[in-house]
Amino acid sequence: MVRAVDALIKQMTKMGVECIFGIPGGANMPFYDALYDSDIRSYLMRHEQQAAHAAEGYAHVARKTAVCSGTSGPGATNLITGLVDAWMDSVPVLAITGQVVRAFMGTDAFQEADIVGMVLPHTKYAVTVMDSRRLVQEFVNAYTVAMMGRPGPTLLDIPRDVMQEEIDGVEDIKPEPIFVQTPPEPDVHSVMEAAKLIIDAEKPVILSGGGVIFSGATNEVLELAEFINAPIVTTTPGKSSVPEDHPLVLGVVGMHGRVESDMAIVDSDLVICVGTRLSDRAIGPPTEFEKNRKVIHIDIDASEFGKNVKPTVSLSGDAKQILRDLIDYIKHIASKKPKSPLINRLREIGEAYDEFMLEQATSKITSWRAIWLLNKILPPDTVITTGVGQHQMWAQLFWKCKTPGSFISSSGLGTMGFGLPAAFGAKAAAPDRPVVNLDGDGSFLMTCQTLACISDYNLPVITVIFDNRSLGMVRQWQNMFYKQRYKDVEYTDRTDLVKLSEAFGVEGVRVESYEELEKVVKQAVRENTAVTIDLPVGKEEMVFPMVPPGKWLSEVKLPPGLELYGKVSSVHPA
Amino acid sequence: MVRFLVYILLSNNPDAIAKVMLLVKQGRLTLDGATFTTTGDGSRLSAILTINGPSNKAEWFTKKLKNFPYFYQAYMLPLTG
Repeated sequence: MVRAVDALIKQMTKMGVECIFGIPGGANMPFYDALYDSDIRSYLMRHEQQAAHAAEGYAHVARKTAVCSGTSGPGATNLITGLVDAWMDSVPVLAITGQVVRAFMGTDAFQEADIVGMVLPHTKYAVTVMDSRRLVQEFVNAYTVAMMGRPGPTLLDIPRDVMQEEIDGVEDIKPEPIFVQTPPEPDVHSVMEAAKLIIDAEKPVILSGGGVIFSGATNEVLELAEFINAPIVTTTPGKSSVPEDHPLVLGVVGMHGRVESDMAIVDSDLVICVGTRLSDRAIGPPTEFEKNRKVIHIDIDASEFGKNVKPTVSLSGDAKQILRDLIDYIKHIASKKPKSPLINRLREIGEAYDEFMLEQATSKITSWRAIWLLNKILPPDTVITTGVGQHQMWAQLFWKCKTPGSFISSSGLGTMGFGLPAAFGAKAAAPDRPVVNLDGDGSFLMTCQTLACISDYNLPVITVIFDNRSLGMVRQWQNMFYKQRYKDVEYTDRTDLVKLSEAFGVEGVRVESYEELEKVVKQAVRENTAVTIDLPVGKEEMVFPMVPPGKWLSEVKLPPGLELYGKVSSVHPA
Repeated sequence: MVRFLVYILLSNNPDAIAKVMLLVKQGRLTLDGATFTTTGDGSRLSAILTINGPSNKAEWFTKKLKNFPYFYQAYMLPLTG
């Protein structure tokens, strides 16, 4: 006989769980007691939300299900933001929560909350394990299904007495059949139909989403693009799905996308969408997107077909497998397409934008130039995380990813405070790679206690805070859409971010020039040390290009003063 | 807008039933009727739902169910008249 929770930990180890991010409390104490004797590393976080985000960062880098934990009641409810974040961005995270003992369930006992009921809309699977003999089986199910099919969060809620009950030893547990979500084989007829559309298209564009990263389909996307000479644009979650220094990769499309990417979609007659749910932020109004162009939609989740955009051809299954079949078929029936002058024209637009922005004469440090500089000096395998706001948009515009899966952001939910704990989790997964959190002061202050973990576990994360003492993106919207009636968007100058960082045991530096920034970052990378860099930037900065909400990509607003009329037909200065 | 019948074979537990209803809500569908009956050894339920909504959402609903390991089968039948 063995304690159920000991059997659980044994199974976790067997399935390759290397670490968990969490906080112990009354109801999950047996879980932590069992961890005491295991080789699984546990990272004591300072808030459960941060545990969930750290697990997301870990899952992105390790490309496997990551585990976080909290106790019952508030411990569990604090995990919710991170779980919903993982849901929106399809990240495999398993939350293990303690629950009050079975006899107390339903009595409003101390720290009792129906966490399963709360997370049901935003998890692939959530269960309260009422029978200790089912505990290991339920873990195997939840851990496996988080990564299978379309990845996403799951939750295992375990009453304390269930953990402590003695059960027979368990061996060789496999997921139950309903939890094995094998992707369907590509439909041959649809592959042929898609191939014909691609061959017939004059201006095809590939839209690469986050699904490409989890499918490992980077090479296939590039191979298809090179064969048909099509530009590649990405969604925000798909930003690092392809190397952005590749000549066919234009960058992120959408509300704050690259202008050349927006124009590529506007000018296209076919968009090949891979591993994306085609959100409003990426494509604008679906009716406009569907107009004048054909759409091939490849996704592992068949429910995405027609949800936002009605595809001409849909292909359900694993992106890598489908693209492989598609490429092989196209190569059989068509020859490589010649290079299109359109791509050069689009790249010229991008270069004109970069040149214009980088030549802005200002006495202050600008966010975009700082990111452009960081991109030049950091190693190509650097993992970038971001908070949410203007700095995130500058990062998506000026950081060029070179390594697949190296840009981790809260894309769907837009969770301020995501960056630092996600960076901690990423560093736990890849201690030998530089991990840099590009953050805003608003985002940073929401989860800055993670600095304590960085210090405790010596997982050196570099944080650059684009410090404008305001909620910059909200301020920008109040400027553009609320007649500059700025309300509750500006912080006082009282919070000393350098002292705050040092109070948590992480070196803090206020940087006043690009030269200093370069010096501090290079030193931190060279010595593999943690540092928090407070980088003052102007609150008057506005992120452009911007497609106003509800507008089509052709209505993109450019930075005031940037003239592209000679290069594209329909773009507008802000 | 279409009216359609959905047949679902699901795990016999309240979470699975809640998940069905949450998907009805997420799809902004309206429910005309629902019947849940235990089948076999009692570990599964068979459900018949009559639902109204846009045709793309009806398809979405049936396909979406298949993402979640509470549901063994899901079929949709459009109703006319």
